[in-house]
Amino acid sequence: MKEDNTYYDERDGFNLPGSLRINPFDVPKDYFEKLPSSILLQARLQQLCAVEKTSFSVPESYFSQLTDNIKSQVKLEQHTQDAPKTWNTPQGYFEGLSQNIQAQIRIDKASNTEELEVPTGYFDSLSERIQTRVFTDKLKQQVSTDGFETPSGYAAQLTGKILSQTADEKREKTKVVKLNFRKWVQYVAAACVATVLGIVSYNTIVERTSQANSAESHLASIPEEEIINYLSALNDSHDILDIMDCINHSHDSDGVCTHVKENDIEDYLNYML
Amino acid sequence: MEDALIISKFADENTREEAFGYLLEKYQQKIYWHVRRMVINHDDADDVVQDVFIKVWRNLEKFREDSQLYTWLYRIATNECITFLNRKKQKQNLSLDDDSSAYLAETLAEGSYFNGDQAQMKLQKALLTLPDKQRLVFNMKYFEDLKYDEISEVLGTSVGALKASYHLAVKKIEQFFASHD
Repeated sequence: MKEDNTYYDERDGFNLPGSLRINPFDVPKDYFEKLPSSILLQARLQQLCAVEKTSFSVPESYFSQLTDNIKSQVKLEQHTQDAPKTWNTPQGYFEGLSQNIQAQIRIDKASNTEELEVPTGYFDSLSERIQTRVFTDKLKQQVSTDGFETPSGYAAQLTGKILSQTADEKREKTKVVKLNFRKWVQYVAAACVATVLGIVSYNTIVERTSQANSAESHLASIPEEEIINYLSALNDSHDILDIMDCINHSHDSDGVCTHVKENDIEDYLNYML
Repeated sequence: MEDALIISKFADENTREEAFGYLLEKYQQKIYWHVRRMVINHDDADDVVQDVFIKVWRNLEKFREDSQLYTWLYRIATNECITFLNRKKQKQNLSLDDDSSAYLAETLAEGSYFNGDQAQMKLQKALLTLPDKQRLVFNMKYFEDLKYDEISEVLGTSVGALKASYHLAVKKIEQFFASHD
């Protein structure tokens, strides 16, 4: 834009040439056309920011505590970062932790139940019993059968023999004997007499047993030692002395005298079988 | 055939023989071997087994089913064996308490209907050194594989006594084997 010569003020001979009067500055295309709208937009934005700033609020004394809060948070962060450096756990520790805890709970539960018991003297004879079992197992590997045999066709023969004997028995059973009527009357008379005698003798026996019961109750009141002394005075057997000897010795929980020898036990077992 | 069915068929006179046939088929071999191991000799075992089954024929209808049928049969067979062995001892003028069973050892030595090897012969000889009842317990446990409860039902002895008896029997056999190597 060419401006009027404002420098031409009463100064003769010192004016700049007309070519220097051209404005060297330039602006973007359509700058001045867009300028009013952009200024108005800026003005509106300024207005809006002013409104938002005034809508938020903070708790009371927030800013006064803010510094302390930030400092404590920083210390926590530092502590968390430092902790892994000082503590270690074995490899796979957390993976097996829940199983270990459950196992421990089960163990605690089991230990709270009643203690298991074993029979008296169980462990004393255990090794011997195990050795017996070992020998038996070895023996079974060598000798699993008894070695006996039978004649060929014996099983069928045996069945035949037994059945023929049972058939004979059956024939004997079905034998019919005719009774004589007169003899039958005699049998009835004899049966009546026998019945009466039986009733009388039964009553006698019942009376005797009641007397015996009262005798037993009398015996119970007499001290044990007196009975033993009386019996030993009557008999000269040594059994009484052996029994007394056993009474005075200790007994295990089954009531077996610990003084009794193994041979005595074996004889007793064979007797009992 | 189930034992209960055998017993019920035996109770009916019309089916008695048929039931007895089934019973023989089911049990005669077991009873035979049980007896044979005790009396050793085949002919003696044959006699005893026949006696056993005749007794069964006579008494099965009185069987109260308070135990298993096979334990009842075993009980009869066991008693017949013991009776037979005692009778043999009396014939040989031996004491009933004499457990040497020399006559059985002789039978064994004859080898009649015995095809066992050396180890089996040795075991049988060892068994003949035991008292009859102890030998019975050993046979039932070792050869017949019966449980102690079942042996207890047959013999009417406590399980504890049977275990002790078996244990003593095995110890004696072990000592016999050690001394006869």
